[in-house]
Amino acid sequence: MPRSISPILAALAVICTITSCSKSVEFSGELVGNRRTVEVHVRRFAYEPGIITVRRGETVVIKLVSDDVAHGFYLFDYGLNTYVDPGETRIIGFVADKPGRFSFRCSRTCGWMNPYLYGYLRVVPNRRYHAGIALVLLVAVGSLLLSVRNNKKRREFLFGLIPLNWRFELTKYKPVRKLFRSRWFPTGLILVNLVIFAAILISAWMGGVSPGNANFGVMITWVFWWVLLMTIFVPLAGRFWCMMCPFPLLGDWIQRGKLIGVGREKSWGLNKKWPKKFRNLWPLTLVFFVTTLFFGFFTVLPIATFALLVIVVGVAIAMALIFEKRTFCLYICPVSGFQGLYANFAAVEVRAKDLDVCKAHRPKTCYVGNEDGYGCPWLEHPYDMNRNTYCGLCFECFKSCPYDNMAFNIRPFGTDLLTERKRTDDVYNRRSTDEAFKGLTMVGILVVFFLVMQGPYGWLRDMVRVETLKGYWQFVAGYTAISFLLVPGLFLGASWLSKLASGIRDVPLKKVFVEFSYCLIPLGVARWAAFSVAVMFVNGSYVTNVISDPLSLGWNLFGTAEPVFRPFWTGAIPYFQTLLLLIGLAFSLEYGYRFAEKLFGSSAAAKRGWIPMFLFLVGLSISFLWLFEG
Amino acid sequence: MKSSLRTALWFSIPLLLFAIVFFVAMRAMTRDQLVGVTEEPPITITNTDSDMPLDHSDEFWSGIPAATVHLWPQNARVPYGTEERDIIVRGAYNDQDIAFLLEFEDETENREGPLNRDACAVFFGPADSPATAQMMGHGGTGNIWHWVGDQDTESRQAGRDSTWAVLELFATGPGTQTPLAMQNVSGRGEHEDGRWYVVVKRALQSQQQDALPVAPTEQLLISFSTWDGAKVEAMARKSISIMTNLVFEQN
Amino acid sequence: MQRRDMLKALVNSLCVVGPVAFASACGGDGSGSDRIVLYSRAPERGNWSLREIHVARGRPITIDVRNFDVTTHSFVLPALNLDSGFLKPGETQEVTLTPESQGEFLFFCGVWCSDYHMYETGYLIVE
Repeated sequence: MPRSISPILAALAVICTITSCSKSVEFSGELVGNRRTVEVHVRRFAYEPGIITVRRGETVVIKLVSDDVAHGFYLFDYGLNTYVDPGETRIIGFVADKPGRFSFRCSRTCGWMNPYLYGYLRVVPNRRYHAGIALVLLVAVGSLLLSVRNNKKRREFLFGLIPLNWRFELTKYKPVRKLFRSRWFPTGLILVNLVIFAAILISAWMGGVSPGNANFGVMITWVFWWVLLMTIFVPLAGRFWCMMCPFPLLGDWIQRGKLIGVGREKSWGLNKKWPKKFRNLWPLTLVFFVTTLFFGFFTVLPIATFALLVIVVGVAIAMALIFEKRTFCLYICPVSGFQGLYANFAAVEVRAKDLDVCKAHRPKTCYVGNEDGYGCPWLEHPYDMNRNTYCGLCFECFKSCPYDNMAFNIRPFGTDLLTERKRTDDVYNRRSTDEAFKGLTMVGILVVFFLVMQGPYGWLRDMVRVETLKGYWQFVAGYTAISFLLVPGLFLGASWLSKLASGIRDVPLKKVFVEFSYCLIPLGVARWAAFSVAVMFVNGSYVTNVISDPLSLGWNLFGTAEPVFRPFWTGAIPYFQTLLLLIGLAFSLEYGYRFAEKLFGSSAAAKRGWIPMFLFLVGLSISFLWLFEG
Repeated sequence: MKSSLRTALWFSIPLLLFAIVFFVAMRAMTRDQLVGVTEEPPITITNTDSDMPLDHSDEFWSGIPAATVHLWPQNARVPYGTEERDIIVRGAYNDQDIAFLLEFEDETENREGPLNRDACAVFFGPADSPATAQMMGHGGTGNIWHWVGDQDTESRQAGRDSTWAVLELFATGPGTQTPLAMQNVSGRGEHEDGRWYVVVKRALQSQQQDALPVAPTEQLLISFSTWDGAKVEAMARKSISIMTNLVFEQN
Repeated sequence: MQRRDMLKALVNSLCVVGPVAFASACGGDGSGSDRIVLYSRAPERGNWSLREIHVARGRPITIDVRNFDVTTHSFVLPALNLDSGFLKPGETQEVTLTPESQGEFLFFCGVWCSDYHMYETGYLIVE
């Protein structure tokens, strides 16, 4: 019986996909001849109706009415831009000649949630979305064919092409080695960032409760930094930001007594150890989740950005006084969790070159420190480190190693996903539920982020911005349920089906759950990048505005201080998003089958057990495709 | 187990505390808080059995309670008004007519030309008008009873009807004032000791198109405006009061 | 040694408090100086940041009128014939004036910005 479950599931999935594509559509407004007239009311912060559905080739006339303050209407890709004043009606006419789903957004600063005032224009048939689904299925089938061709040797190659143990050592070049051994690296970068950070704090404080669109602090943090983090730093280089993050600098200084040079190894503070039970991603998962409960405030309000940053820095300093080394970064910092987890996917790593050299070396200066460098501030064992999660790329081990035995490698994406942590002297050596839940909660968080920030639903935004207390509590409850119950629950179901289908009884369900959760990571990195790319293309012009006048003193440093909303490449957003999702899915499936083999042993059982998880991942990809452009 | 529970509390209590403080502070900051807004008292008009004379010096008017209304410079479009004024308003109605006596300071009596004349007006709009109706019915509709000094003179000298002194207008926004087909509002203005005394009067009901009934059965908003011809006030350059409810006092 | 550590802790805390203190100094109302920042906001969002501006007679003063609000505003001071023109959200306009006579002069916003627009008023008080 369990053996027949996979074909049944596959058949069900195909039927679901077909029916979802051929679902009938309801069109908006009134059609006279070839002209469709739709009356759209805009208020803070919703378009009513939020979704306009038209047929390709129709002449669309939108009567835009503002119900409260001055608003605008910017239609992506079509590039139409209109403003409407209170009580006025504006007529926007165009021919819907491009099929697909296009967002429209308020192009006038109408309030603090203005960047999230979105609506959708759906021009059916949505060929782009259908093509996206076809591509997802193509990638899925391709991956299946690749993995089914059972060849142990091929398995040593990513996509059958790139050897998994391929490394390119960047530190083989002398200037790079010299740079990494310099005490000014990366502290110099941190100092530069500290100056920017001070400017962010000052401008965010001065900005108060005004809308963040013209605020240096809000724009640099949530448009520039966040997008850079999610589209470049995290996918390519993992904890690259941790390397130059200014938050722990003051704490380090207190602990070490020296800013650049090597001061004391043992902190001047209480120097406590973080409790063993919590040496995992759980605290980070919780802190990040609790922080995101307020994203409706701090991503748009200068004073909220200020408060958040001050709390984080304050806690960082307090933690530095109480606990040893970078305990704050390891277990408290809100953005550390996903960076750590997703760093396992990144294409760079810090590793010891020759393990034998390290074995013979006593004492291990990379852990205890010497006169050239501190012992690992991130409490790792650089001499046998084999996973990126808790490596903050601070490069202290390059300085403290007397044998120049540390290497900075470029590697194939995601090789850490396969590895078990070597180190066994603490509790977080295992692959465990903490990392699984970090990965799974990031799904729910992204869905809610997307629906609020780029979705057409005003009622959701009303909940998030605490229009009524009751609405907010409903949001908190729903958001928590989605993140901690629904998504993990569905995933647990898929794991259970996978175990059932494999026919292997003696594998614990928890192990299946945890092991497979790592194949969500490439897809997770990809969808966060896909989400953030749109943020940059749409809001990038605000960044150019604020850098000309960072402290709102009326400067015009680069001649770009005029507050304008000028999105770019909005037509390319869906293509970027599809591409990123496809890449993420390809990696997820590529690694996923390896997990199945690892779990279920025999290749026949692995193939059977892989199907439910495979369908889950394909389904998840299609869901995100629908979210982004369906 | 016990110690790890304690650690969990040490961890989650500060987290929750920060969260709650953050939430409360941000929520308080993002609520709308009205600053400098006062509730406008309604304009109450008296019910009477007697006739309401156009002559302000008649002892009828001295028996009607007066209300002081503050006028601000017109501040929504160019040319803006320039003056703040306080005017005194008396209003009364009987079973046929409704009348207002407006009393305001103006050192000079100007009864010449459309750009230099003294004038005043009463604006009525339905109670469910949007706030923008303040700007002469913008976004809604309204009636204006516009007494003008030059036509007041003409109506006396040429022996015309006293309705010639008051323009009965319909408006749906600035610049849309349209005289009604029948001019049914009569009026009379007198300048005494640096003050204008202007009485305007109309039947409670009006059957003609676009005219609002101004009767106890209606829910209406009312505002007042004045022009000082000596200060070259004309058209949009005027002083206006904030729209408020018109209350018909019942006996 | 102990003292040096404490000194460092002090420097550290100053690094954090410093920017904040500087920011609050910048963000102050600055009433009484030759240059002031005036935020224009609809009455439901706080009204003018200064509803009374006190200035000395005969001394030139520059007002940076800054619209950090969500609708268009303007700054109009009829007694001195001043009008900043439309200020879209995020814009700043400099207004310079030299009051020649004592008194209280009304200023207001000249754009219908809110249902409470009529209340968006303030006074320039020349002493």
